[in-house]
Amino acid sequence: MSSKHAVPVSVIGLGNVEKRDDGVGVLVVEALREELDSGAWTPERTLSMVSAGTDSLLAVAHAADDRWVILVDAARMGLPAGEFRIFSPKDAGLSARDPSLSPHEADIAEALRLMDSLGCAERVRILGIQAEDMGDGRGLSRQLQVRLPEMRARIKEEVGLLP
Amino acid sequence: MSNATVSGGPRVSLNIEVPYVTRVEGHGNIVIDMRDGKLITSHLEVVEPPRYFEAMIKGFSYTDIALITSRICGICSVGHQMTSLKATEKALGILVTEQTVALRKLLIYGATMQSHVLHIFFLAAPDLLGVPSVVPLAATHADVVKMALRMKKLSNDICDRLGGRTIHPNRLVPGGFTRMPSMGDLRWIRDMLVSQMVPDAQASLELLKALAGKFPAFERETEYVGLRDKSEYAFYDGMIASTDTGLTSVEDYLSVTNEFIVPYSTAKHCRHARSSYFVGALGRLNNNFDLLNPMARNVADQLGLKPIVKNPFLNTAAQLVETVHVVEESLKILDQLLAQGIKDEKPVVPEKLREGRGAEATEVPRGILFHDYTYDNRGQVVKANCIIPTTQNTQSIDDDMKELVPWMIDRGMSQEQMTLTLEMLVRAYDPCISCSVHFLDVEFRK
Repeated sequence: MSSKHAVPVSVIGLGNVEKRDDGVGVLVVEALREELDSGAWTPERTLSMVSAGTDSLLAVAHAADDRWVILVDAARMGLPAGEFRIFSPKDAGLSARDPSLSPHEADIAEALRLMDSLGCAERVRILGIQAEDMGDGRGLSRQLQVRLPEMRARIKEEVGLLP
Repeated sequence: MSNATVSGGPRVSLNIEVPYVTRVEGHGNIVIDMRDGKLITSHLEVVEPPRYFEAMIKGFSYTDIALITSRICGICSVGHQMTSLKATEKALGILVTEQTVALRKLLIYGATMQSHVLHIFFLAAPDLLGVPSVVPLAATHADVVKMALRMKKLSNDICDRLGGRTIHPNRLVPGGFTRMPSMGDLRWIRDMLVSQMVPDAQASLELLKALAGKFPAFERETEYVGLRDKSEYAFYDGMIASTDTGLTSVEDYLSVTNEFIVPYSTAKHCRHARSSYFVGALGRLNNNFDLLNPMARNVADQLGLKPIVKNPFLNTAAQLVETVHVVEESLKILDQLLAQGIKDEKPVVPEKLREGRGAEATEVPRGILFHDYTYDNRGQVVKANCIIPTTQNTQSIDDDMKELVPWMIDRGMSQEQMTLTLEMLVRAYDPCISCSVHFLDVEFRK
């Protein structure tokens, strides 16, 4: 990987692959990691692809490390299943389950609150993917499965757009 | 939020409720019932429903078991996976290579660093610094929070480079690894441990020394249990060691755990030589102190830890000692692997599937973890038993509270101080109650 851009990027997949569509973020990131490892994708900047599971605090650790962070996660956005959007934390109303952060599987809203306190939330982008089925089991809903190539392409585009 | 009344004098009665206390994993209630100076009830109620993992894996192939059981916990996923693999390999007669053992130890050490750093800085430090959570800490002590996040990130990166994922690694299978780390990965880990983790651990020591006076000076005589190996501070393997009774083979783990049920909790309790025993960093430290590496021993000395440490609150301090120890241990393994090179080994597969049983133990951050499987001749699980550290610690927490409540009253603590101290006690054990809910209610019943 060459480094045309000074600031590295971490693309972080969040979610539980044992809860069907909830794991879409992890699956997207792992597919991109395979592209990187095989040389099929050669971005012009330093990149880390991270499968963080349900550990949102790890996203805070990457943001606090002076990196751009792209979080990839299943979301409820009132869109058709498989639709996805990229947005900044300040553009979205994210509600925490619990008003005080717990390090054990802190949810994304809690993690963003901590990023904000540390002054690194400005370098965060979120790729939200509308989920269909968050029940027990592996594998994505068909509506998400067929959109995976577009999701990967959108992340690559965003990586190139970040300063 | 806290509502409490305390009537003083020699015949104290207490009535305190604290809903939604954070910074423990899972849902439990502390119940203290003191009437006219007599302690009627003092226990931790675990109200999570059973999760049935042992029943869930029946009928599954030996190739799937570790992947499923790693989902028991998102923090100790590496430990569950490792213990599961060892139990399966023992049952099926699979002998892994020295390189596999070395890489597995590196993974355990990375996961231990990650979990200990989380507990020290994100669970315990807010209490010691007088803030409700890490978020306000980020405003007042941003450098400390960033250091903790840096340590966490490196620990996660180690697991990622060795196991393929930061949690729930996907390269670990019965018999070995599906993919080896590169020599570049190993060099990177070594360089980062030396250049980043060692100085950050030193800074953590200075911080903890400065806060040492904030730990309650409470002590209770109890039995400490942890694995003990012949030549190294035990995490991956060993016999069950007790400060009361000495060594027991892992195959006989049921003679140590002695699970029993109590009417107020969905979690089983355990006891061995006494009414309870303690597992975790202090359980290991008190049984392996002579095997600490030099830097870790120096950290223990500076924190005033010397066996037998009887203060449960100092479990947090013992975690920092262990963090330094596993960094040193990791460097030893890395130097050896870098000198001899990584061989592209394929996982060892059983020559023929057979009926068998394997009981194994590993030290995970919160204490000794047992997995015990029985397989049929098709390599499918017919019986399973998993005993996690928090199950083993619940009775010890109860026994601590029985002595802690009068200890606090004797010192004239206010209701707020008593409530906080009880919460700190539970947090000191770093319990993983369920991996699903984040609340602990504290209620003093009049």
